[in-house]
Amino acid sequence: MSDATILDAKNEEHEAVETTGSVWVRATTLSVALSLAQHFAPIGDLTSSDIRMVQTDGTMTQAISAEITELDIIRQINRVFDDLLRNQVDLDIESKRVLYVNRWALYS
Amino acid sequence: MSNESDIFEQIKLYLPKYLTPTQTEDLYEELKKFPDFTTYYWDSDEFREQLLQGDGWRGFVVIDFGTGDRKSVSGMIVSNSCDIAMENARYYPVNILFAPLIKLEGYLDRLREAGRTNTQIESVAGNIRKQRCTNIFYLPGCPGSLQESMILLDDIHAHPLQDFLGRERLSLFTLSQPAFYIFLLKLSIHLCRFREDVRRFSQAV
Repeated sequence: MSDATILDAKNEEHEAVETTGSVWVRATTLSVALSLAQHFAPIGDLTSSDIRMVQTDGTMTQAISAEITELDIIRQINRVFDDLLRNQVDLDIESKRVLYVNRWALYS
Repeated sequence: MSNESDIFEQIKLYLPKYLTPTQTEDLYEELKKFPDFTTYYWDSDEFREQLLQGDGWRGFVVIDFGTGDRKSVSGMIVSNSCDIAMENARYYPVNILFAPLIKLEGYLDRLREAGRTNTQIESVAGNIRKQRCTNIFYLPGCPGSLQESMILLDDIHAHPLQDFLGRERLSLFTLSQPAFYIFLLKLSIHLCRFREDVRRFSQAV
């Protein structure tokens, strides 16, 4: 993907977090943090990090970096987590019955 | 430091520390495609001999609770990688937690046999492929080693590590970084509910 496309995508994200949904973003960020924290042992020291916070003040007077940072990765993980929560569905009863009744035979 | 940036700094500790700018960009792009991304597998033999969380292996044994029957199956490792690392000294028996693989086409065939309409079957398949079913983790086909499959997150079995290591076994796949993250998120959502709506404390007086 070209840099321009990435920048466009990032701009869309930045605009998105300027909305009232930013509260939800923070809430799900915490949820992701809690989820991830269960699976990894803490490593490294905080002082060696060089995460760069991209400005989303709403004034749009500061330049937005086109470089993908760890913050962008976190935002995407956050988005995936949000997507999984919002769009989750259950199999209908009959489809679930067929799956579980035939489970043993379906093992590959 | 603001609360938000503090949270980001904390989360950053759980991201890989060794990503190059290109790898960071690739990871970003793949996550951004979710739920339509396709690079589920890491095309490398670097860790083929290691047992990693999210790996697919042939050689697990599943036991039917009702009948006691045993069956050799392919499965995906649910245990975290550290707990089953072969290089770690063991002073107690260790189990590998795994979920048996189920071929998606086989399941869809059973739905047809049960009289489900094509529309209903396509709806089920679509939800599975987009990872929308919380108790199912979808696995697309991996050329040469895996047909399109899925695992049930409520169908987790234990296989003693030493027994598994002594068996004839075959590595089927290793999840890519974005697929691994999605697996962890689905596993967490399925198993952990911080908001379970149960008041586990005394009523205030």
